[in-house]
Amino acid sequence: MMELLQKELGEALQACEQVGKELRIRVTPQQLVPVTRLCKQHGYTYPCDITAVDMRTELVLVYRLIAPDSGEQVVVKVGAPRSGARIPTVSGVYGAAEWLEREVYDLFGVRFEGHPDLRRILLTDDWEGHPLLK
Amino acid sequence: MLQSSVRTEQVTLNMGPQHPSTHGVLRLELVLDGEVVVDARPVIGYLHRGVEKIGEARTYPQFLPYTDRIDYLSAASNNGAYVQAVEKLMGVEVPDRAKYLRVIALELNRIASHLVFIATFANDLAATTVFLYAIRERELIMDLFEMWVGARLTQSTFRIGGVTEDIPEEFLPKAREFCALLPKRLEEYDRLLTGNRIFEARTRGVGILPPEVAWDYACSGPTLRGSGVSFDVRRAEPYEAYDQVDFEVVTHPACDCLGRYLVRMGEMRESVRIIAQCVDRLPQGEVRAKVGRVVKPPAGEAYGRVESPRGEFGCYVVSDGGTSPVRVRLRAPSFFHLAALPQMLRGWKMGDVVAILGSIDIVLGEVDR
Amino acid sequence: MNGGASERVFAFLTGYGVPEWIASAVWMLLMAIAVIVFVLLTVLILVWLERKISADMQSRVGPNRTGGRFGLLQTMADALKLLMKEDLVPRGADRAVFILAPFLVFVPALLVFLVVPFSDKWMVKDLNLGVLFVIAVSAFPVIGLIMAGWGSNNKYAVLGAMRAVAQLMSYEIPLVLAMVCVVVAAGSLKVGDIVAAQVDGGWFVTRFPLQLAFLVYMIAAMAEVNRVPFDLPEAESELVAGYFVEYSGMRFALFFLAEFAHLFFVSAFATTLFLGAWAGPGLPPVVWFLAKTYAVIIVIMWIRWTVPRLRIDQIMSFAWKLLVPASLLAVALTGAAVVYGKL
Repeated sequence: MMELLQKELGEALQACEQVGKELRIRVTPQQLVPVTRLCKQHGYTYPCDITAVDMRTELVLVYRLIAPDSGEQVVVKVGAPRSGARIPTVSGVYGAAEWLEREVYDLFGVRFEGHPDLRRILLTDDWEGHPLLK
Repeated sequence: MLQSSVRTEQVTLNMGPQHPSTHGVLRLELVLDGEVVVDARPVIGYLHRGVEKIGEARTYPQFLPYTDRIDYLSAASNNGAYVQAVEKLMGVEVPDRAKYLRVIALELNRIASHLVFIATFANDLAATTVFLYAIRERELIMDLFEMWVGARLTQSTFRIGGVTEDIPEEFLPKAREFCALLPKRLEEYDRLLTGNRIFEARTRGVGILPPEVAWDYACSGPTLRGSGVSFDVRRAEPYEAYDQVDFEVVTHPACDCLGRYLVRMGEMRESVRIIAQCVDRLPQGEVRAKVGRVVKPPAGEAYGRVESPRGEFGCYVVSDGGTSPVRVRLRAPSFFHLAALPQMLRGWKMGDVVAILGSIDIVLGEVDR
Repeated sequence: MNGGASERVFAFLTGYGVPEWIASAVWMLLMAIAVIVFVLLTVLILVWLERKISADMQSRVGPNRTGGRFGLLQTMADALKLLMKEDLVPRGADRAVFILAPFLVFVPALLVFLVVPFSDKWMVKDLNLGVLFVIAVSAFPVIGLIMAGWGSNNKYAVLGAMRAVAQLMSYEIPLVLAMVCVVVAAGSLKVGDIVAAQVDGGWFVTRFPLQLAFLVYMIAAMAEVNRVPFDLPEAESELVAGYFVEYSGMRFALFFLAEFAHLFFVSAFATTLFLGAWAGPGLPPVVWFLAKTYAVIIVIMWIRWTVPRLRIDQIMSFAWKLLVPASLLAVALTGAAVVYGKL
């Protein structure tokens, strides 16, 4: 998989590292949808998790895709500014993304472009702020 | 003539957040056309306690009891995922005895959780007596845990590096007794539920979840295995002592409520087998690795996965080398199953909503965290 | 059929110069009070019985504090509690309809006891049209249900009422047809004649083809009383009590009482129609009657606590696709048996 991604993305692949069963890569937001689609085509059909981490300097969105048959994981990371972030949605690739992205929006304030129903999911509708930011 | 002049309209009915059958504080907005569900919109967050944020303000050992309370019907599996992630970060080797004890805790929790499933599922369908029988059996498991760690529900049996403490002498004989007793009781439930025509009529062919939809929504556990897919974290990425015990992964091809129910019944039997094997083969030794009072994993990240009774429960921990994590992300299976629920409800009748919702066995504690 | 009691009371009163119509009225009032008291006491006992039986089946104990070790006064305490509750009429509810509904459900449940033969000497009035009277009066609660559901101004209540009405009307047909079998076999609508036919020739349930009618009657009766597996209209776990969700206190007590009174009645009527009413050797007739009735009640309760509930469309399809044809078959067989002299 690593070779495939390196071939497809070339320069755009900002980082690439195999740690145990995880293939950790970093891409730009524009490549998010093509990369996830590619992974899904190659057996990574289980969208285990989508979340974000506030690293103080930036937000890192973490997409964990697993190939159920082999147990191999591709962890796609995307950098985003801590406020005003706009990231393309992957809900067209994986159905689970709809709610997962709503949660990231709710707790981190990341707006997902093209999302069918982007609104808060855990907090009340009139909550101000995004609590999981540091 | 009369048909076209009768105007019907769709009704939006609100189920919850207080409702006897929503298994917690869940709100389901149902759009009904007569008796048929046209759309269903789950509204969650009523039990959101900000656990992930709390994790950033606690030290690694301090956060452990919080994990018990996420999926409170199966405390050990939450512990297991968190501890797995931290131990991966730190490179801790857990002693063998601890691994086997952990498996015992995990499987006992699995049985307890599935018993609650049987109880509530039967109760929703008005087989009230089965509800009480299952709870009675679960009391035996609670007794075992009380004997071991002193707590019944939020047991915190795990610690970073092992388990809390070693089992007392009375534990193994009592565990063996339980393993001998449960299969007989399960037969009784089979007679009362599985073999009952009315139960079958309420669950067979109801609430279909096709495997493609299940994968798309990242379903796991019995919800996925009830659609014929053989995926179990204990086999996909074995942890603790699961690579050393013999067990079947139970699946059912039907994709309906009955299938999911049968998978859980089968899993209870398999869990009894696993516990019996662990009890027999329990190695001697330490129950906790030497970890030190101050836990400071090196900077990095790790993802711990566990097969909880509901599916894949994952814990993603990011560390910066300090005493508290930078991020603790809890990946709860019920969140995904609830996201898939509208697909399973559309086109079914109001009376089926309760059965379908019960069959996916969600716990709002882990949906909302 | 009162063993002359009504005549004696009548004669006693008119002997003192009381006008005849007042004497009649006094008698009727006495009977009404007797029926009400009996029904209330019975409901008390039945609720206690249900709780104890269900507890025993579920490895529990049931009420064991109020009124001694067996919790005998538990129902009394619960009833008193209900009476002392605040009287709530929901905002937006149709007041008149809401308030009237419980009475339309409760009164017919009492009224049917007019033709129940507790013993060879105890029946309030052996009407010539006994069975027809029962069928007619049993139709009233349906209106009461609709009023309760609609008047509550609550979607759940309306849904529950609609389901309840659909269920009741569907199961009324097999119920009536099963009763018709007995009427045909006895050759009369009069309850006294039906009992007499069994005293002479043996209980109807022992005579083919009335076993089919008995089975149909029992199943339809459970549906008429909204008992599991037919209790979807008031399913706790699905509709939170259905059509009487908005009722509390005394009004709720009326619905509850009506349900148990109706339960007793259908069992008593089953005993009357099929199990020979008060006929039996040795013991006094009233003891036989009550024993048989309670046996039927216990079976109904037993089923309730064992079996899950059916969905409304399953209930309906069971009624129309299975029970109605079965009851028609029963009528045909009974008719044939009578014509060919086998019954």
